Amino acid sequence: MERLHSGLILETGPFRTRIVSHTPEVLAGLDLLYSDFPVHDDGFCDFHVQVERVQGPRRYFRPQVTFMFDGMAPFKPLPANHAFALLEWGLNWCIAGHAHHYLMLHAASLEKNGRAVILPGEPGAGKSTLTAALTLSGFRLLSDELTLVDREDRLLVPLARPVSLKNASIDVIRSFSPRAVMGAAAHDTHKGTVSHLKPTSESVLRADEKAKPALIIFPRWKADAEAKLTHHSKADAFMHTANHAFNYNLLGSLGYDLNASLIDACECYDFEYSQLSDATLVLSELMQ
Amino acid sequence: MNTSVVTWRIANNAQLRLRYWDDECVLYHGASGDTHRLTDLVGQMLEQLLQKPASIPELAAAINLHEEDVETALNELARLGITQRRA
Amino acid sequence: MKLTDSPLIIALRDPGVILRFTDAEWDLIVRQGYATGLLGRLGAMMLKHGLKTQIPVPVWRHMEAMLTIAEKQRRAVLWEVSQLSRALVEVNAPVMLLKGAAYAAAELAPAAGRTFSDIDILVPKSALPEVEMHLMLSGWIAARLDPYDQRYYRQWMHELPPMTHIRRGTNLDLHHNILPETARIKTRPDLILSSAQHLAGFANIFIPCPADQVLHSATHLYHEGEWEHGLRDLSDLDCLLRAYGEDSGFWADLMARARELNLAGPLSHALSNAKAIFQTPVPDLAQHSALYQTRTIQRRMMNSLFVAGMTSAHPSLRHPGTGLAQFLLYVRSHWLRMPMHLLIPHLLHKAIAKLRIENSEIHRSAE
Repeated sequence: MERLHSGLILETGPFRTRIVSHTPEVLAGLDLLYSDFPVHDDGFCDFHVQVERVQGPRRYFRPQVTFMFDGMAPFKPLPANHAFALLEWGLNWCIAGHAHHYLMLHAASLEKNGRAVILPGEPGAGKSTLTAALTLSGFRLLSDELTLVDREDRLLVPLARPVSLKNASIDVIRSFSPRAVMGAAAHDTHKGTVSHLKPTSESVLRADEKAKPALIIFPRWKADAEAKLTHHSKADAFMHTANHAFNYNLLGSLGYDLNASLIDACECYDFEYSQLSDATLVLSELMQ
Repeated sequence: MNTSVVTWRIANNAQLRLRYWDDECVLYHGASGDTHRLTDLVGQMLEQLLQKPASIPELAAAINLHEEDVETALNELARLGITQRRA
Repeated sequence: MKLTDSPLIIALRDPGVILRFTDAEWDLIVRQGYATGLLGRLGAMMLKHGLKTQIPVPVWRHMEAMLTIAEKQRRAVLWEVSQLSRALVEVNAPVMLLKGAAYAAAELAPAAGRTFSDIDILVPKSALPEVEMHLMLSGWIAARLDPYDQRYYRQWMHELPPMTHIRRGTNLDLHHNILPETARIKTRPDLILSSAQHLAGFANIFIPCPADQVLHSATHLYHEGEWEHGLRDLSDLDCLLRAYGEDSGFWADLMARARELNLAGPLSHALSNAKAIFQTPVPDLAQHSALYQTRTIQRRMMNSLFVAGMTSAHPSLRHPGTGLAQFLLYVRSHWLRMPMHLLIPHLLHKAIAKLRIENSEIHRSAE
């Protein structure tokens, strides 16, 4: 706890973040969901962040917390009980706003049998739920939101951070895997109710192992649908990942080259499913 | 317009990159930083122009497209700053 | 910490020192680098001096990220300039790029690793209506401002309200002077335009001549309110002076030009601060020349005020007095831009507008 007050240095994949916080929600969240991650006392840090209660007359009536990046607040404050979610969004912001050494896709990614699958995010398509189910079914989690592509070797770089789940997904995953460890839910956020799934220890312990991209899968949950894979146009996949990436345009011709080599390396599919157990089975077979 | 007289070329310093998948082409226009999705035939047309300037009939013959389609493509690409009529 | 103790500043002055840097110093460099906008410049210097492999990999990744952005912006400004050139081809007046856009487009000394957000251009005042019209026809639209702000810009300032391109989203600041109409010091934009140099490859796009590049940089720094970029702007100046200072005739030209443009005041402050912080080689001629007649005590106070204002960029660089210094400098820069009878109503208007925004935010977040 003292560490968090003066600065706890958390290692997540290639990044080290120094976190300072006096809020109980952040402490609880880190204790529960980040217990497998390496922690350091000193050394170079990529990011310096603080999550603290806002001072002032409001702090008793409707307490708020704010996220600071090296003393600067990039967002407006949120209700205090959203503090851990705010930290997670803040950490994503740090990476998405600065890590232009990588091509950063808005996609989930997982690895099995030495092959990595990329799940581009379409809002409402159930990507996060599927990602959570896969990581609870023997897939190594690389990332649930920010997929990083290394510019030198074109491999995917893991973060292995908690998977963010919303609303109904939370109960769906609890049913799917009753032993899944999830953090306290934050209600009434701008995304509804939000909770985070603890990544598997294996995912975290192997977070220094990059993965070879092999599949790009566009998931779509459809009521009563049998799990089915159909081919997705590669040119379309290119445009989709480029349009949804965090920094495709910023990287210029490098972005084009990296994205193109990704498309070259990957089979591209649409994936329709309704039952998670069905879905995880079909995708596991695909990874053989 | 007498299409056989007008020659077309790639704009100066366009810095084009092309990749093909199935029957499509994804083009990177380095000068503007824009990325465009084209048919593979239009991609091949651009590759013809990268080798040397050509007229619409020449391009239509080389890539097996109708002259009207070639003209439409060239005009659209000109609007994007990728091709231009040779002075 | 003192500015001159900052590892970032020390490394910019003398790149070889990085060989002895500890993790703690690298940590501070990246933080200060991001906050001041100087990380990319340091990265470029590391490459230039062959020191890339001596830098810890996580640190280099941050520098490389900034170099990537700077390179992208360089290409983007060249494209934007080509579109501008086409849009304004019928206008019979020179169009001059200023500051960041000029450095990037012409690959001047400060360009390496430098990022910027807007494109600044200067045209003769008489050409303004025509230029504005052609820009609008080509897709640049003026920001929507209330009538007060419109008047602030058009009547009193040296620039029009900022314009944004409707498709590309690029920002354009159109100037007709480098100092406002209402400023206490008057300068000669017509002379700046008449000494302009062509931007290679464009018939109607220009950049200022070297002495004017230096003078504009100094004037912008000491008359605008953008103190978070103060160190970066001073560093630009250091780059320019080191690049041009080798030429024996340059300093005499610069002094003469400063007098001609009535910008001896800002230049004097600039040389003094650049020498103190970046150890810019400034010859004695410039140092002792009676450029700016003020009492020494007043000058020292003004210097401290500027330095204090510049350190507002990052918490590690602040010290007691930074906040007040920033405020005093903000007021001063306004004082330099507007006479008192216009200044007070203007600051009041800004204060009221800010309050209104804050109030509406409080109401919204309470819902």
